[in-house]
Amino acid sequence: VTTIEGLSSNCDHALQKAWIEESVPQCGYCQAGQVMTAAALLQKNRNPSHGEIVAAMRGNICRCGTYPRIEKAIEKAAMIINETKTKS
Amino acid sequence: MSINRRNFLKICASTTGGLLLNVTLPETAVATGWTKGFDHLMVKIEADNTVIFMLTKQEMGQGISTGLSMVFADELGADLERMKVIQADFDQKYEHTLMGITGGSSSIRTCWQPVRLAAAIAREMLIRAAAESWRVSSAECYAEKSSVVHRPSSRSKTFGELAARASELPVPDDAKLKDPTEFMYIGKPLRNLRTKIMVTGDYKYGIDVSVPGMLFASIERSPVHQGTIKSFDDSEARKFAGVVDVIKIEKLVKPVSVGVPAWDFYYDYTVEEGLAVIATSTWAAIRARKKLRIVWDGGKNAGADSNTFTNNLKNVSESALSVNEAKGNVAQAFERASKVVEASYEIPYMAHCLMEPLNTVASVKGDYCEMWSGTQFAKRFAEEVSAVTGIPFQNVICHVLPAGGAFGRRWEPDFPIEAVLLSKELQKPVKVMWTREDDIQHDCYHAFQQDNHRVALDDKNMITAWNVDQYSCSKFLKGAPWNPYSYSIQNYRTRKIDLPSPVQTGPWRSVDDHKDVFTFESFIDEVAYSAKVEPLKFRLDLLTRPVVDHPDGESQKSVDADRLLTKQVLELAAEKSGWGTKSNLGIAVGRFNSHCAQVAEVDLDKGKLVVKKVTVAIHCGFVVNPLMVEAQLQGAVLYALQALKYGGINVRDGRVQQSNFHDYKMIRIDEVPQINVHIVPSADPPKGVGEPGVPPLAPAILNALHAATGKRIRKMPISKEDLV
Repeated sequence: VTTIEGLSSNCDHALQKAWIEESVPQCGYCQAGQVMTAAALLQKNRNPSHGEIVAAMRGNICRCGTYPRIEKAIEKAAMIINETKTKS
Repeated sequence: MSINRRNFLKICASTTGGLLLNVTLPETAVATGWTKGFDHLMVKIEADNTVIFMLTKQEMGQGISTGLSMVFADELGADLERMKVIQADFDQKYEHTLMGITGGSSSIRTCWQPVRLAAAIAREMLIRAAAESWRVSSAECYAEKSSVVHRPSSRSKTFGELAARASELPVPDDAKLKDPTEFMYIGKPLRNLRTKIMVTGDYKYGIDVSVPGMLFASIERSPVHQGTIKSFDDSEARKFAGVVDVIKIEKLVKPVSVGVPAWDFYYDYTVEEGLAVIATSTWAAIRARKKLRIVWDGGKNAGADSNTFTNNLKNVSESALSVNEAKGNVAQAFERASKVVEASYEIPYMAHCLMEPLNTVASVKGDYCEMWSGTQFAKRFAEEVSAVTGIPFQNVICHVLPAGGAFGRRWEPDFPIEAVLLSKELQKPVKVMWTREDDIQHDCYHAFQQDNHRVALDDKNMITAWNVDQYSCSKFLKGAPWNPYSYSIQNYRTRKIDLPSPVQTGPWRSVDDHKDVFTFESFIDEVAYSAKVEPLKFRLDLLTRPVVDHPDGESQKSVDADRLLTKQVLELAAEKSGWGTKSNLGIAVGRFNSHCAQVAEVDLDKGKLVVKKVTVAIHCGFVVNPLMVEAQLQGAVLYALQALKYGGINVRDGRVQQSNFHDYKMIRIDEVPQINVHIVPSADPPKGVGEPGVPPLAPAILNALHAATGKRIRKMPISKEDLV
């Protein structure tokens, strides 16, 4: 089991960067779960569509309503991952 | 603005050789009626150049830790990125009277000026210290990125280097606030400062608090509001591994709270009777709790039922209603009416559903109490704890923790009192943990309300009279404030009846406005259709029609200003949404300090409501951080959308029927509409954005649904049958 603490050693995972970039969280309480679900999605699918993102993420509730930025951040993280993969 | 010397209580060198200012600002310096003395505000600069900002408001997701830090850093000339933000505790010794209150979308509004004043004073002292050391004029120096710079020579010294010297200077009485053109941070779309610690798992909430020797409690509360324990058998629970004790908490009903007399939002609360299982872990406490055998006496609420409750309203006689507010001659206007339009609206009980379940750690030792709680209202918590336990108020310390959502629930003192009572009994630290089911079934709910509206129209289809009768379980309701939206009505009357509630109620994001705006803005839409006038035009006509008999010029002026803002947000929302070009749009407007209008665009897809787009227009005064404003309004729309689609707590045999997210649904990511937020540019003092986005959403959607389908829904939540 990987938890948010195990995602990266230095907050340098693409999702963490994208989450900061898009200023996703509000209260933050659900965000560890959101990030980890997104990590599982991106592991299986490097270019998720809108439909694939919402299908993968619909099990995670956010009461603050950060959903619009969650979607943007996942798209951004996918871009970061793909750029890194292309370069290497 | 200059600052008078007598406004300062004291300045003293901090123990670490830095600068510590305790600033007292007079009430008049704070541009709001919310503040009863912003007594102390600390500005702290350490010798190592760490600038410390004491955050006096709770962070619960609204972004106040970022917003106020921006305000403080900007006015001081500090480096925002390197600034340390410390959540201030509530402690009577420091007399932080305002700091214990986070609610009413008031944080920026109440702190904007005092925080800037305190920072400006500190900045001025640091600049003077630097100027003296260089033997130059302070007019040649400025503060930036936590240093003071001498402009002509480019010499600089850090705040840390200057702090000790600055602390020995007299307090300036001519510190000037920055001009908005000088702002570095304020007004910019800066990202949330706490995101990094949130996405690494380092952010600590109330639920993460742990103190040495702490025990854990899970409480089986009366399933019926204000019920009592008839008999119980805890022998099986006591046998469970890890269980330390089983303690009875007796029902506590506080009819009237004492405390801040000026604070008119104090009201009664109940701590439900129950059995607390005390164990060495949360898990053991929750498991053992299931082994309790309790026979309950439901008392007066034992037979309460949502259905009969609603039906009983029909039998309430008109004479039971009390007139809340009236103007003109309503009866006569109805007699002379060409047409009368009437409709009845109903809004149910609703739960808050915080992501972080309620919890508090309390440690009582003799005459001393320390507690850790994610509270919106630490002062009230401390006062109630003192009143209930007899522990002197000055001995009650309340540490304020960040909350995983609050929405008004953390205003109520039931959950900290439970922890304190248990700790007092055990004389050991206790953490009370609520489960999701506890949270949904023992909430202080959004109140049930039914509004019966009736208007008279003349032969030109103009409203001549408006009567609304409100049947409400709200603790707050003093009747809808007339006129909620500054519509010009010559004759009006609001009547109300306070209904006894079979469940506990409390503030819920936007409080009474959510109910009132739903019924008023739905009804005015109906009246517009009945009058055959386009609904936006109908509203604008009522806003431009002269107000007939306003008592004096001053109130006329404020009414005019208010009407102008209502008009501005309506017109902006209409313009940005393509109003008039589509047949599936609905509009509504509210005013929770800030004026907010919304246009919803809807579709029916195989009998299912699809909200495609919501256009939000807000006038919230000067904007500190547009990114945070957008986040708050998007969040408010989704919070309100949940209420409209899935809200509704039902009671049967006095017991709340819903218990978790399977039967009390939340909005998921796949049903989020496009939400566009537009801000009316303004140089007015900041107002507030946490709540104003909630009330207009439901009527905007229901009005859109009517425009698209001809169906008029007058009851929340929307049911499947409504859409057939």
